[in-house]
Amino acid sequence: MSYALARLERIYLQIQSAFGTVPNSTGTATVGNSNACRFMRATLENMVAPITRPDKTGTLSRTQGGKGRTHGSWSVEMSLAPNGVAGVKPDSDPIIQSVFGAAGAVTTATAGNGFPSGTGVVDGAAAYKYTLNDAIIPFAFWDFRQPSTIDQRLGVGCVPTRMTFNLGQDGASTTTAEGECMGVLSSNQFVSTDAQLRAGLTAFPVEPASPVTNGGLVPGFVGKAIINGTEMLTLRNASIEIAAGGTVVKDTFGYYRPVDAERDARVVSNRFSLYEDDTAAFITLEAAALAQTAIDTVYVCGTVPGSMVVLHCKGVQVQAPKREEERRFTASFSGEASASTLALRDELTLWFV
Amino acid sequence: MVKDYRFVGLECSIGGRQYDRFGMRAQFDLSLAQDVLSGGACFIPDSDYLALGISDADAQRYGYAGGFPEPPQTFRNARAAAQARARELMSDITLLHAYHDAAQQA
Repeated sequence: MSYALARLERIYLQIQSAFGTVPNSTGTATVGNSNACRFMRATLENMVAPITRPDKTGTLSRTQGGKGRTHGSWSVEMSLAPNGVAGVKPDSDPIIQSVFGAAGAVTTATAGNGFPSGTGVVDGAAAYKYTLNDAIIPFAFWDFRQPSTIDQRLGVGCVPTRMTFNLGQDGASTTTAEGECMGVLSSNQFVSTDAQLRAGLTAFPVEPASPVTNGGLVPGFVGKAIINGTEMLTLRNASIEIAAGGTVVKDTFGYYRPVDAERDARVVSNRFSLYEDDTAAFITLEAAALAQTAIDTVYVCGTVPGSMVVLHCKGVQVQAPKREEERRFTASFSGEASASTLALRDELTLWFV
Repeated sequence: MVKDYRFVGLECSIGGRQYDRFGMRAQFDLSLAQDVLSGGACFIPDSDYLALGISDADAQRYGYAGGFPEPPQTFRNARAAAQARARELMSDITLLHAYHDAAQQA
């Protein structure tokens, strides 16, 4: 008997071109070394709703039920890790694509391309940019553990409910994401699994032999915050949450499992905490909150080219600050971002530079 | 057939082996080289690396990201050129075929 040591786990991420089909070549999974991604914690769970016949029986005893509709859920927590070389996508690209609803693109960090000013990034530096769009992009979420006799798992048709970027930690910057999926395919249950969840596979693959992962440590407390046009030197922490609205369709007649995914309105929320002071920047920021004037926020995480992440929120209407006291007074702001124009969908732009 | 490559990125892991210094050597067959580049790891063929004129001493001295002392402009230019070459290979992975084909002919 072997136990599954928690550290002996790797995940691999692949974009699916169709919700119900895992990338494969005549039934053989194409997951490979290049799909690996480092992470801290991942979950893949099947949700099976039992159903029982509700009719009265003439006794108070419960009758045995059967299997109802089923779907899956997934979540992952990882360091916010750029590639290490500017202009190259991060290993977590499939999740970000799915959240943003569009593939990223190699570009340059210039004002003409929408890159915010004052970040300290060299003008014209190579960059990888994600812009929001409305497409539904499912992905396959492979989770391999050791030894290989332990159950290996695959989230099929994963779509994101939300993703959060966290800044200001004493350790590494982190990001979390979670969502739903058609179901979780299991290596140990593969032969008894229905064809829909096998998603085109004829066998559960073994883990690729030489996983490729990239990027170094980005300290969570190193970078820059430009809020309402001014660099805020008193930022303590910040987070940006994208409620991506992704979900699987759970009510299609004729199917136990979801056969498709859908999306609802996207909401980009921004929270940040500052030390309160008497500078014009803070006073102006509070005035904007009280007047519900939209502001822009720019967070630069990291200082080493190739290992920097820039999150640019537009049209943030922050609420009046909530003050708390420790040794100093602090002020926490939160609000939702909005696009400059509906066509641009620029309430959030993510750059790896 | 395996061919020589050089790491020109910040940090990566391939099959558990860490690459964290600019200029580190590696050997890949074509299949693994394609996986490596497709997976975003910044490697370039050894011949491309040598053409940049980076000395081993400079690679040792300045090859760690964020290390000290700050590299001179000539090294930074060479590093940028190496990384641009890696991005070029990533965008068209078939470019690796020529490197490996040439090796077989040799």
